[in-house]
Amino acid sequence: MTFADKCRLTWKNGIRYLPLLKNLVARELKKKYRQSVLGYVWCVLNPLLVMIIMNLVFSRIFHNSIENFPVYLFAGRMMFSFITDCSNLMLHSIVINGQLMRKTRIPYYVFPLSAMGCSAVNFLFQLIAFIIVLIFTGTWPSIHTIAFPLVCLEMFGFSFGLGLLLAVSEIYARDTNYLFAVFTTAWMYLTPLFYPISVLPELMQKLITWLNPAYYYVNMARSIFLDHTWPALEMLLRGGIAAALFAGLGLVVYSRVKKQMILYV
Amino acid sequence: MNDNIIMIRDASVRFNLAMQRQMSMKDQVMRLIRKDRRIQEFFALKHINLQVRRGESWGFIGRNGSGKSTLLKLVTGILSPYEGEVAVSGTVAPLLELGAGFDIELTGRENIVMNGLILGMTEKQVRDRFDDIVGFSELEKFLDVPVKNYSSGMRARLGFAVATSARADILIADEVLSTGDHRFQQKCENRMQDLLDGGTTLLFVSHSADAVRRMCQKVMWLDHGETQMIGNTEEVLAAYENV
Repeated sequence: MTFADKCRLTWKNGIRYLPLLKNLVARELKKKYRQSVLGYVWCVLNPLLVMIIMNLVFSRIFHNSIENFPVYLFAGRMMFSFITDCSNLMLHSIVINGQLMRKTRIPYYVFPLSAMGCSAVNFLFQLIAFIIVLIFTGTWPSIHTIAFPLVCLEMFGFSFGLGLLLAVSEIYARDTNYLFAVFTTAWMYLTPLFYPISVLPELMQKLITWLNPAYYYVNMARSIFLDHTWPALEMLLRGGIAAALFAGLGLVVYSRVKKQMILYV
Repeated sequence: MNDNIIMIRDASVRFNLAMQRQMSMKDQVMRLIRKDRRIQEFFALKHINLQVRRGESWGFIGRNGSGKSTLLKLVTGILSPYEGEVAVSGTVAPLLELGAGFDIELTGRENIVMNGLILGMTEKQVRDRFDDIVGFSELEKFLDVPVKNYSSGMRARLGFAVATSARADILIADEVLSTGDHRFQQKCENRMQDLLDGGTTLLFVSHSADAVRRMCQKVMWLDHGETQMIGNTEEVLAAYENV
């Protein structure tokens, strides 16, 4: 089979399972809010309430060093929580559907992809909440907002790759999710979400700006919405490299193990 | 020239029991360090040959653990052979277990859509056949109830109705009729007969010799993963019942 044939086949399969993917995403959202009175309103309300509490707690501490603290906090939190939620959902996505994989014929890639889709929908709700915050703080978006989709794209690529690697790891060792939970906590504190990066020692600042991919995306979101500037070029580059690296590695690892993973789930 | 819809040549399926066990990371690391490749091999199927022509109905018999379900999973494409070849030239609608593919939190209505899509139907096909599925499963009143509140009989009816309406080239039914009552079994057999008349190929697993006798032209008898006997229904069943 030539490469073109392969591509065509993949594309045809992809189109064929698109409705299923859509349904899987809808299923998760429906199940989450089925029994609640406010339903989907919680998607927006929840980040807003968390935001208000965090704002009350931390704005007292850092109110001198950070201007427009609510936007600073929310922009960072929004990006960071997408990365961790998405990779965490993807981590479980394959193992949790083991029953389906063993009893029906279904292409496995729909599971991580639907987890990704769910997170993307949640991210949209977060954006709505973020817009509410922008309105309340009187922070009007500038022309630089048009760069935001690119930043999101990079972030999606990075989270997708990370999630895929975690999902594969979880198949072979179920300890992965416990380790990742601990790691996420550390990661949160090592990402300047509710404190300014300048409070850290210089070495730490360097390490974080270079080696913490979450910080690239957080930093760029803040440039756009808080400082009303274009995202720094080096951040854009690092973000792109991290995205390509993780997505590429994730896809390679996934395609190498997909034939045998049915024996482990 | 070749109307074999299923072609299995010298196929074996191997499970590694040591791998099947849930392993923690520590175990895995220790094994890697010690270069301990303790492999407990287990062949669920050994050197199976099978040719099924389009439109035939096959029964699979044998004791528990003889490899019947593994063989059906091989045809479905859930498992791939360790050795040998499996070629299936057609679409497959598997019914490998009661309520496989159902999400019990969702309602009957939502599950019909989900299950139909998993079986490879398009959204339009699901819409068109929806009433037929509901009619056959007799669940009109319970469509908006979560499937977790369904009885096992209701789940069986729904699963069977969706799988048979996929109109796949090959229908696989693994011990799915045992749950329903007599009337439902009758109804299912009629439906399978209709599909057979329409040219569908049927692979049928049952512990009921009578059902196999009614449904199948040919039978494969498996024992410990090996072919014990293969041939016309009467001959094989006679031999099987004599053991």
